[in-house]
Amino acid sequence: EEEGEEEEKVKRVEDKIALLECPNEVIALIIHRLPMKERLRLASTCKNLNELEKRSGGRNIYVISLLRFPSFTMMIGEKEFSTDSNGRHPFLLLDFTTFFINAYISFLNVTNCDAVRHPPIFRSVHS
Amino acid sequence: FLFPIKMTSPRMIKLTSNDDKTFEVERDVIKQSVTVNTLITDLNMDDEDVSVENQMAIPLPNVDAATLEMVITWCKQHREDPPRNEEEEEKKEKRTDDIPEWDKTFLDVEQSVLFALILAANYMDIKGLLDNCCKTVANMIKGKTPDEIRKHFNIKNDFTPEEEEQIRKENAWCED
Repeated sequence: EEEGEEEEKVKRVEDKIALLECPNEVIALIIHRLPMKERLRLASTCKNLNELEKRSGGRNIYVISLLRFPSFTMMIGEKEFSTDSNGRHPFLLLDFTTFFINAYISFLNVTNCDAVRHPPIFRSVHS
Repeated sequence: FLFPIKMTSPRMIKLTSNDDKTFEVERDVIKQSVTVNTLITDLNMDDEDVSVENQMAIPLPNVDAATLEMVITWCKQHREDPPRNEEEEEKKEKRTDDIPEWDKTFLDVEQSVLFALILAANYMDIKGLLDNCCKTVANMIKGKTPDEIRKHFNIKNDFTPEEEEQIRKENAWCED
């Protein structure tokens, strides 16, 4: 019976406006409201959303995680990292080389969120 | 002594939905729509000499009557809200647990109605409404697995099993 109800619900949704019919900029606004975990879960649902999520800048955090700074990743991934409504990151980590990021993060006291959040060099890149 | 007091009725604006229904709405209420506000200014519709009967209705070709009615209700409820500072909003931490109670109840509607409202808010450029609608959708996504999200939003899984496995691996770092 539950399955029947679910099918009926899906059918009703099919006839009307659905999430994927919204313009990309609107879906991006929704993506920006999600914490990293949910963002990636949404991206895992279909190709279109995966592309949109990638373009919204969320994958920059994944790049950092590849550099094996788990504590750093968690700290900024959960709370501090957010993109603006155009999907731009507050700082352009992808534009730095691995070496540069490594050197810079070693230089920072990564336990201090504010230091990571407002590093002067990133700020100048952003502006 | 009694002095004659000039009673001024609120300035009204006419809006027409894409299914040809016309709504009269107070100028002060609809100013929350940047799109409508710009049109009113550009077309000099604030001219007090023009009565509402002789006034041209603003067509909203992307909004149906039912949705427009909801948009107007939302604008009436939020007419006293202070103007939003978009720069400040941008800097704020992105949260989804700060939707006002009235909005929560108002937006507790069928999914298609909610998306119609999102599209209307986006077209009419009503930031507050768009923001609260997006937060509501984000709250629907939170706590769900990809499969549950697909079911909830009727999303077709178009990944090949290999692609899906690859994505699962890529995203594993973020899961518990």
